[in-house]
Amino acid sequence: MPDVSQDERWTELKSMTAASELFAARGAVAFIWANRDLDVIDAVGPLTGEVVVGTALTLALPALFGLETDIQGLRETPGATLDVPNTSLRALQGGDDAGEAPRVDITVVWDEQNELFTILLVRALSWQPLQRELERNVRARRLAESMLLEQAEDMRETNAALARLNQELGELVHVISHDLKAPMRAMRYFADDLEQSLRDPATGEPRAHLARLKAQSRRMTAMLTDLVAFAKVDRKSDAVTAVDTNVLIEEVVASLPRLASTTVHVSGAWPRITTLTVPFDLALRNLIENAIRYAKIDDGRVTVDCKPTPDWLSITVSDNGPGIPREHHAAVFQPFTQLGKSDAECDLSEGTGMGLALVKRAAEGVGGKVTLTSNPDRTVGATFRLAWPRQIAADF
Amino acid sequence: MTIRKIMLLGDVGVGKTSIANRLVFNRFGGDYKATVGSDIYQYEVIPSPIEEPFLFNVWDTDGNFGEALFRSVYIRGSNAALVVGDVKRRRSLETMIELARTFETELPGRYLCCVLNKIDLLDEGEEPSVPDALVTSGLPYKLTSAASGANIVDVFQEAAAAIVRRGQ
Repeated sequence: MPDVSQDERWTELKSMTAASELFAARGAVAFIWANRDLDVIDAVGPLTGEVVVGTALTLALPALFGLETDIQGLRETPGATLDVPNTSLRALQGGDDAGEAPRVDITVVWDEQNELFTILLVRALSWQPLQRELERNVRARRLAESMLLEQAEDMRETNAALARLNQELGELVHVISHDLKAPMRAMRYFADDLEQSLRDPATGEPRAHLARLKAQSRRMTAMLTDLVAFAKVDRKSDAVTAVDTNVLIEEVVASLPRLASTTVHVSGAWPRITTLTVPFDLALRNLIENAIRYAKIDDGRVTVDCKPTPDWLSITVSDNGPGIPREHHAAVFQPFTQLGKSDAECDLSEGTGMGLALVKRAAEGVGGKVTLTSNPDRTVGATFRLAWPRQIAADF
Repeated sequence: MTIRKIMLLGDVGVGKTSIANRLVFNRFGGDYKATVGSDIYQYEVIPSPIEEPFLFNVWDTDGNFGEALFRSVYIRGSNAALVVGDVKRRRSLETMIELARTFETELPGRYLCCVLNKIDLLDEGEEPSVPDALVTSGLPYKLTSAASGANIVDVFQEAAAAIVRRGQ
């Protein structure tokens, strides 16, 4: 360091003022000098009116707050600069928020000869009103394009959902036109039989025909009730609530009728989850009811197990019944399907054949899944695995 | 008076400048002008009745910076961040979560809060769509409206209290 007095250094600094003003005319709007402790010792230029000599540099230039370590680091690397580009000096508390704020590129450099930090503030290019306006317009257009893309994506999702709904509606129409005809046809046959037996008692007991006819009427009513439940099961009108699955599974198992020879064993961990209660209840109820129905008559065994993961409940329901051949695995989830039963054989006590279709629809409605494992050639019974999300968003 | 640096991060057009203007000037301009570079606002905040007030340097950043902001000089030395998303724009909320996670990684231990802005645009009775990823992330979040002023002061107040609690 040259051995110069404080006065000489000060004079030297002052002599730079004229040059600084020239710089200002060319876009530099301020020179600020700070000592090693980062206190302002001088400032020149049109934007330095608020800069008070003696105050902390980071107070005079808020943009440099938090960068003290970086600034001090400049002393270790001569010639290096710290640049804070394109920053406004606007909006001090209680200040005037009107009008365009001056935007500057700030450069800090360590002046080794004078042992001072020199801070240069130059108008940022985008401070030029026309250029800035242009940049803003381009960005506003990009924002609008991004929002349009988002809307287009929403529309695609809505269209896909509509297509799914249309397909489901088509399937429902098929079910109504085909499966609901079966009990009606049976009712007509039984009515014919009844009429015949009234004319000729030798063709059968009228009461028996009447009983069968009434059974088909009840079956028809039950099918319609289940069909309504099927249509409603994935509607989002139900509230998402906290459910203690431990309590729920006990209630479901206790409420299902079964033969005295049939046992239902519940195992695993049943946590609290946030879900749509009605579809979850319905899925559990129908899976277990189905297992009870198909378990062995003289020694029926149904097991219900739950293994929770952070995101899912993995629930398995197994029975020791005859099992389901692989070729029928897909069909059992179709509405009104009862394997190996003709229309006339279908008995209301054995259900309507909607249970597993309801389970599938309820599970898929919340993003879950139901699968079947059964191979009568090798093992006894059937196992249904229900994957149900532990968390369903309130806006589901 | 001591100073703390708090960043306003988030996608383009989510309302960062409107939040800063509501906080500092208690005003809201309906017109949209994108921030180019960064704007610095100052706001005096009292963390709690028993704490000394301090000055927040609020850095309103250009939404186009995205993740590049974390490689820039702007983010250095910040004490906290409010990461803003537009409650009506799903993609901006995804960006909000990504930026929040990067902030946590790049500046560990600093206070961070996700701000779901523009709740005034929700229809009557419409629940805000809070992404599952945000709920499960455990990140704190607040619903705000720069247009009505709802919760704007509160989010900065909570940030100030958290900074003091953490001794930053």
